[in-house]
Amino acid sequence: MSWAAHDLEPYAIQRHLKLKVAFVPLLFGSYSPDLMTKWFVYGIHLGGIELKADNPVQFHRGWPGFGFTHSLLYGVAICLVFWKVFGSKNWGVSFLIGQWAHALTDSGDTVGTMLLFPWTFHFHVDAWAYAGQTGRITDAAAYFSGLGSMWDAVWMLYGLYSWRVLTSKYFDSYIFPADRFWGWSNRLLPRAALIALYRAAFFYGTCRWVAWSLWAHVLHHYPYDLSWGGPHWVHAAHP
Amino acid sequence: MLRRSSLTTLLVYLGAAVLYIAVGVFFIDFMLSVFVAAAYLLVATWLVPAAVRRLR
Repeated sequence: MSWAAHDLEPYAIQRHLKLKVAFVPLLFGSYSPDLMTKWFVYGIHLGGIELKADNPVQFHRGWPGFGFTHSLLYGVAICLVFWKVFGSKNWGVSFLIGQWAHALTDSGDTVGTMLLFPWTFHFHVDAWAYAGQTGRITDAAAYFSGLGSMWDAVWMLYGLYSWRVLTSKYFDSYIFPADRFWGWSNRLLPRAALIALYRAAFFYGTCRWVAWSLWAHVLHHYPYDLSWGGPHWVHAAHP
Repeated sequence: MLRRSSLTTLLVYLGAAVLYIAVGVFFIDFMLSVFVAAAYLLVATWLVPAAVRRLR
């Protein structure tokens, strides 16, 4: 499980592919594997009833479950829907790149992803502990104490190094012309608002990386454990 | 060298980030959604500056 990488990676990809990708489906692809499942992994309370998966790990990454959303084939399938049904190759390929980035990044934890689904083998690098089954708070504390947060930091620093990708000039030169979405949105919102929306995921990823790190280590004193597979003070799930 | 308008934009975003982080650390529900963050950013970096310009 990754917290900020999925917000930040699209900006690094955008830097290199410029007009070849559309940013909105790239970001949508980067978010898509967790879009409908994460709330049920952590659980929510609705009128005194807790809705939560019996086996969060199986539900999130396994089969039977929604683990197929973290496979390369899922990206190809949605890409083909955008391309062949809605007639936008650009949206399809951009979604594919974002979704593949998500699936590959999440293979860094101890549960990993079924990259080659329908083969149900989990590819897992084991660099950081998967602790989604412990609930959102413990998962956050563990994630921001281990190598997962350092991986997020790599993308954050690379994004800051590539700061030109966040400028209004870059937005006008590459983001706006690559996708009719922005022209359509410009009928409703002025350019300044569209630029803020374009920057929102980077802002979100960076700010919450800082905020969660402060919350975990200044407010609550969870110990850092940057060893491989850590932090080892939390129960890490495995496939 | 940053132009004055770019520097102003950067400072507005930095101010918005500091406030977002400060609120998020103490009220973690605030930083659970990218949609909330996008709405906040729209208000902080577009609506508020536009309102200030209009009042001047």
